[in-house]
Amino acid sequence: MRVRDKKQRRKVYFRKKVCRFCADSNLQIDYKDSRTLRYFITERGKIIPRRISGNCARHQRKITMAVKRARHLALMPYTNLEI
Amino acid sequence: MRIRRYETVFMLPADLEEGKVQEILRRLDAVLERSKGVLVRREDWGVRKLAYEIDRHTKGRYFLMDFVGEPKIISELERNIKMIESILRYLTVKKSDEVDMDAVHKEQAEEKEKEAARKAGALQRAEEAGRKAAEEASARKGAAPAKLGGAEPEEAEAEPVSADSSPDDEAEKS
Repeated sequence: MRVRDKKQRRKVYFRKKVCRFCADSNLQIDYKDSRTLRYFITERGKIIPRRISGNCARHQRKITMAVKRARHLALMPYTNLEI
Repeated sequence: MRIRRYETVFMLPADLEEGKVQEILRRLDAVLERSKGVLVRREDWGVRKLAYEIDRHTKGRYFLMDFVGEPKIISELERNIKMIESILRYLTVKKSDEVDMDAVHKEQAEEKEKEAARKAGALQRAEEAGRKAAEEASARKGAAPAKLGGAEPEEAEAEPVSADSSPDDEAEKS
């Protein structure tokens, strides 16, 4: 089982995605901006992990904080119940 | 005596009477003045659909206050906010640690200009919309008397804030 995991992990690590905020320094992360933040949550309202979103650590932290703040102000949902 | 820049967003129920809304705004303005804070701008996001129900409400009225002052005004402001029952949610964020007062005054002046321009523009548009509606009404009465009166008033009132207004909407001074 362990040998299998090593083989699979090597493939996943091959991400070359760039953090979109590092690339464009004008992009601001703002808890008030639900339109932009919407791209970083799933359909169910969960925050998308860095592996998938491609964000760098710093910006991922900011996104997370922004989403949580927006949730508090009801600008974004905590969860979307599935139909 | 460091002066910092803060931003507070708060939300009231959508159906709160305008009189009470203004009262709350004035009260908070007064708190700010008392504690030697300076309001740079205030935004009214109007009514917006909530992401989830709060106290059985599905829509809320949002306001943003952008202001500058010493750190202790925050506790005073929030103390007052908590006392106001109508305020359902609030959040205060520090925007910057050091403030250049000249830049701040400039921004205030700019905001006032925008305000005046917006109000003048809005008045014009409202008048024009009213005139157009009146014209169309007389034209339609000739052609199809069956047209309901419900359509026209809606056109004239298309001006104010819609339910999905984006957060960067108009600033408003009470």
